Amino acid sequence: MSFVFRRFRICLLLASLPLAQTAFAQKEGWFRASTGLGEVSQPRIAVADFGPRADNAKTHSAQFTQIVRDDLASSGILELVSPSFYPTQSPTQPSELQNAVWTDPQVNAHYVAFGNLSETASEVVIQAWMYDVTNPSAQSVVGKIYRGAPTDAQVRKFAHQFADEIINKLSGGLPSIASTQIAFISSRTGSKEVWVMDYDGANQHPLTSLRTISLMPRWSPDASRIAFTCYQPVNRVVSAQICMYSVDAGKVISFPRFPGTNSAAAWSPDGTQLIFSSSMAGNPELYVTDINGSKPKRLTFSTGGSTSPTWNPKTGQSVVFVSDRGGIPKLYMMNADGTNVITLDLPDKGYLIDPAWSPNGQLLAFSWRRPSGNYDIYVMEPTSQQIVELTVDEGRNERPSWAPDGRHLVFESTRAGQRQIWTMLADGSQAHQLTTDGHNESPNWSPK
Amino acid sequence: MSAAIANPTERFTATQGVEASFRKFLIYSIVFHSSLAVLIAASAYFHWDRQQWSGTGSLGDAKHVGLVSSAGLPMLKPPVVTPSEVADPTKSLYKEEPPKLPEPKTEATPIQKFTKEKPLPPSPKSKKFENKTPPPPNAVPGHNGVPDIPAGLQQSPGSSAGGVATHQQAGGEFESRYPWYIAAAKRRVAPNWNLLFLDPAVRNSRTLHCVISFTIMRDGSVKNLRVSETSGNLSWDNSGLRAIQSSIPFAPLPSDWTAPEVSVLWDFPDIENR
Repeated sequence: MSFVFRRFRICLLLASLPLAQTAFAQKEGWFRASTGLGEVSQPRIAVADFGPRADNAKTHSAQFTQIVRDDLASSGILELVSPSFYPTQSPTQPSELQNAVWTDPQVNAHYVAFGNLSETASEVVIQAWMYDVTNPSAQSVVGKIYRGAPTDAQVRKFAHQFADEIINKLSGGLPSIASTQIAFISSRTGSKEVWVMDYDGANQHPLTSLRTISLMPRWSPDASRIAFTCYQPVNRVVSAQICMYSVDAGKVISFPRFPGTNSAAAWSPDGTQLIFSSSMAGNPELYVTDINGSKPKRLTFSTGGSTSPTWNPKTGQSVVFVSDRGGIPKLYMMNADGTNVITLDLPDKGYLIDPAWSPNGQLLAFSWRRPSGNYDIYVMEPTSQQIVELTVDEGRNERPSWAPDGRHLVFESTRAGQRQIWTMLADGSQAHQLTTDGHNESPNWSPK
Repeated sequence: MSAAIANPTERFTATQGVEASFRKFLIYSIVFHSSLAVLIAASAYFHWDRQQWSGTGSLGDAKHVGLVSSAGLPMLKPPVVTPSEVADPTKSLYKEEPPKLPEPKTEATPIQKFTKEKPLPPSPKSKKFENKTPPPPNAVPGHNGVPDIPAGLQQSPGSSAGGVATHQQAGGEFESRYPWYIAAAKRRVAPNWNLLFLDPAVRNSRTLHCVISFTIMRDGSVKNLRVSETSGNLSWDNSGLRAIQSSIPFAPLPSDWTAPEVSVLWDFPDIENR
């Protein structure tokens, strides 16, 4: 009996050890989650009207509310509850928030963004919160105060920052694009110049006024420079050259000039190198150089031209480019040092142009003119060679460029008549026109 | 003129006549000369203007040259090809071979990285509590499950649906404080669980289930990623590992969470779907 009792005590002792570790684990913290086989539903978020503390703050609080709503609705990961379902009274601070009103089946929101705005002649102050209304014990997700000049441009910036904060928190770590910009070419002033605009089409303004032809802008990975193609005289002969715009300095800076036609610059993911297409040796081939343009090294050696390089932003190891060495323009992939060139085979013939790697390095967007139709944007997974068509029967769609969140694409399309800049989600939905004035093309999304 | 002055009276009328015609002539002369001077000045001024317009900086030069050669569409004009271009293809063929040598080396490094990233030796911490506190259904002995359930409820090893609830009671301080973080992490991982890469034989399985365990650090990076409970099928386990791998980095931990990390167990698929 005592023997059994002793054994029982020993068992208890042994059993208590894990107990101690459980307490330890509680302090460390852990959680359990899962991924189901079905589709994940998007969280529903409501953005209540931000309350103006006085009459003079009414315009800016309405502007702030609208921009936040637009940013969240176009994020691709959230479902914005339609404002027509909102309760009549908007909370302006946490104490006024009533969970039951927002989780009501009519509204059915999971998260609510709300706050207030006060304005003086010299300053605007915005208090903004985002609360989880389905968890009464753990509510606050975002709480921010924004202070700045009481101008439209500043309120717009703050709205984008608040939307970025919400998207960052609710997407589980994906970058948000509300504060990003798009560089593009516009001929509305009479000559093709490099322009830039906010990702939603606001604030369009020119960067260059070279009064020559500028093409193919490309942001550097740290967004400090834009490489583009412009026409400059070399030994009194005007030819296409790689030109460099410094965002920090606000002007075009010098870059070496090479013989022949030089265009289509692409940055390496670490921002230290550039690959571009040059006909300095007779045939358009790909060359790699550093950011000062010194000692370009040739990468491709073949008949037929090679152009439109795009560097894998995740690995930095492979480069996809367009070449007509096989007769018609097709996509090829090679290592960053020019070795191991392989063809990216596609099931149909046709011209393949404008390849662009997605930020996670797993997808390739490009423009393809199949024999049956015109140019459409496709996305391909190079490892499995599966392709998805994003634009169907809507004008000529070319030059796709990925947003840093890997969920949006910007491209040029003639579906509205003239060539204009459009954005869409990476599944082809939610296409928005961004430009209307003049002829606009060749967009490139800034990396941050 | 001097002749008119010499004989004043007689030639008064004649002088007057001469003077009159001379005056007319003078007036015409003055008008003509002044208009000529104005013309010269104007042309000089105009000429100056043009010089300024064309002489200012390199931009003007470019414009000059641009006017001349834009008609020729410089883009289509091939540059001058020197005879040495012909030699290039042979040179390039020669060049192509040596670069192939480094190839195996570059291919080798990714493999090394992969083995480094595999957490083969579990850290001592994981031995202490990762194996024991969340009771994996594999562990049949009851005492492993008992500490987690204060009320002493016995859970059969298989029903992890109940297990989820008890986890909330037992160690879910993080889970109760930050449900939005967990929901966001689920949204992050879900699209990365790519069933397309599964072995076709098991792609449509409704019974396979694995549990992946890992730790999220403060900055969202992940360590100790491993299969905590195998499904019995390597392809299924690897799909779960790959799903978490593709979701790195996760969002940074909430700023008011004081611990430097949080441990996670992840089921593929949902337990309810079994």
